[in-house]
Amino acid sequence: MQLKVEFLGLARELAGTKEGLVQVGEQATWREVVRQLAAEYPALLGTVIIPDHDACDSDMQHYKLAPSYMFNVGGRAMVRDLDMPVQAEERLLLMFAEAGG
Amino acid sequence: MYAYTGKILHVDMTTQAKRVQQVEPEFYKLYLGGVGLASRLAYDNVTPGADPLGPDNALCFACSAFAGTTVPVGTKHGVASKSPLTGFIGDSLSGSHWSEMMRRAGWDGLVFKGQSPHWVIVFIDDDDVRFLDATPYMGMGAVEVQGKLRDRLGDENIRISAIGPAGENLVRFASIDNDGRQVGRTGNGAVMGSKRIKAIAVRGTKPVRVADRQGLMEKSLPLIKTTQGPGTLKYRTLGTPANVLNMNAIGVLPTRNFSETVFEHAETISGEYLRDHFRVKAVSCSGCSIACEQWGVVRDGKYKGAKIGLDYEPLFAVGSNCGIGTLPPIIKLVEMADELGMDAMSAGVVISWAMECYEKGLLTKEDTGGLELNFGNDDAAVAVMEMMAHREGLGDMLAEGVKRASEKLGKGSEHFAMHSKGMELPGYDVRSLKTFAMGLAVGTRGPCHNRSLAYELDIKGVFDRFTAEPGRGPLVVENENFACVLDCLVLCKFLRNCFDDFNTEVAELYTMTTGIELTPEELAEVGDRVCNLKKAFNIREGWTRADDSLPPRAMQDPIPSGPAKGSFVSQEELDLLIDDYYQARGWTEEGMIPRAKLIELGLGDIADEIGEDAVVADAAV
Ligand code: SF4
Repeated sequence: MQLKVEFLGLARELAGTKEGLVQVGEQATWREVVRQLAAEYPALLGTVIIPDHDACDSDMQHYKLAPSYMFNVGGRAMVRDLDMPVQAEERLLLMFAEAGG
Repeated sequence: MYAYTGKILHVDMTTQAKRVQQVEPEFYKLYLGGVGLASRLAYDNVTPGADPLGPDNALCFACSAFAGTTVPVGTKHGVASKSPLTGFIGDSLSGSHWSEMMRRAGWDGLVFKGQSPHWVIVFIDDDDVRFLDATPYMGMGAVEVQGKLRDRLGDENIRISAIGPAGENLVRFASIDNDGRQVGRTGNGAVMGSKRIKAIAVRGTKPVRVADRQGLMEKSLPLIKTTQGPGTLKYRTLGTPANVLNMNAIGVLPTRNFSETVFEHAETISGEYLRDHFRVKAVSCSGCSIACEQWGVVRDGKYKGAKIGLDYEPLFAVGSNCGIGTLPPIIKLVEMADELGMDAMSAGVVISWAMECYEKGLLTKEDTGGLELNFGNDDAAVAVMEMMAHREGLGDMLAEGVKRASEKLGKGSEHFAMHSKGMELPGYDVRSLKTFAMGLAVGTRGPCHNRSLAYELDIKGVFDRFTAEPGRGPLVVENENFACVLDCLVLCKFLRNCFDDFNTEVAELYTMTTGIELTPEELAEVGDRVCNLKKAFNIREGWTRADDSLPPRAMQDPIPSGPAKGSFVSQEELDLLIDDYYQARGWTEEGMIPRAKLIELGLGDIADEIGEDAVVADAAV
């Protein structure tokens, strides 16, 4: 399935675009979305997306979002567990979690 | 003791008498500095029941522990008095060289009481205090006057805290400017104006001595490096204006006086747009290695030449909340607020209330002096900003803040007067941030995103932001206590994620700076102590549970559209959340502090002073 990702804040600056498309399998988890984003937008690596050493299996590199970044689905629900399955046709926001100002 | 001198300067503005209070290291261990120290000075020096704009209020400044040292992001100071907006504790912060200069002059704190018979500049020249005639400077902008005074005093190193016309005219949300940074919230600028102090100039020539210079340097360098790493890149790149699109996307961006939560022009007032079209540089508070403030300049059009460092809160207040969808008028309005000496957050929320009154026909063209005060009319907003500072026409009523203005106008306008305890709300619509609703309602200085960090619990999804259930109190209290520790040190909140073990590392920095032995546990306890101290101040001023409230709009008008459509905070939910908070604090159901709790926190003298009557409960902790 294809997911439209809206980039906000620093994610937008680094990705160089307001939104992007990522292609994942029907049974994909959020972790797969992160991996696809890392592949499509390598500029996100190191700041917004970081390696997830805890989740490493034999030879596949796993990634997670940096602590102050998160996925939000539909402007309502935060994704708290990257191992949960992705729902199709969701409006996905990649945003930072801290506010202030 | 190092860094601190143990000396507080008291100035009676009525008689120009001065006295020096000596303070023991134990005092600093209890309050650290900054907001903690300023709040304690306010508690001790404000006459209970004082008119906030009368001689019995005390305006208290307090240095931070790290001002002028190698510790980054810590050259700040706290200010506290009885707020003319809320009638409760009015504590505020600012970051500039002023706090370092105060330290170099040898003062840990300054307390101004009484009321000068004529307008003066207070010039603190190391140990010497002089009073200069302020007549030539009256009416000058809060920023402009600082340059003029430095010229007159012939020393460009002198640092100055000054008020603008708004402070002179006792606008209840007037600010105090220092080097272009503001002691913004709660109206301390009006308190300064009520004492007829146009500016306080400080020259300090003494060195800043720390207990362990080498050790402090060794600890500071990696910290400075961390502040320039990936964890703070978002602040350095876009600053807090990046919140605009974030908040808009999740449906919490206050729009048109908090009636809506999604703004159709969010893109063109966003941090991203600012960076691409208006930003010239990032600027910082003194001693800050992050530099989050994005300096925007208008290069053409009717606001050509306007320039200001923009943060999210002023931006939302005069932007989306006033229905203004382009950056040039926003830059102009914030620049005006700073120069006129007003808190741009309160000013924006007051203007947006007036705009809604105009749209509903509660204010007419006759009331506005011919202005068509519709949402989005930036010309009218600019005019009203000026009128408020000078208390001209409609501006006189608006200068009282949205609570008093709505009470005066009546006609149902109280329903959408967006304040709690009299202070205007910050830039997050609480109708779908229910943990934050709790944090705002109970805030001792009024609703504040900086004192309660509870919005993060909602935004990060730690709690379901659309529901309310018991059990959130402990985490809200923990976050509030943590924010309070930062405000007492003072360290900027954007540094909060730069430590592996905050309490251990910062307690060590504090000891290396001051020579005062402080354990991580003792550091953490300061948050609870100072939150309770501020609450005790309010109780002494007549606070009751009914003061912990939200505006009717937040509790009765469901969000009309967007991702958070339908959400609001019911009275039942708010009661439940407040109960939960009081319980987590160890307070009574009515929100009173048990006597034993005050004693446990080292505030036994306050328990004794307030006594065992109705204001402090005698229940067990
Ligand atoms: S990060 Fe921003 S607000 Fe904090 S001290 Fe630095 S410039 Fe000031």
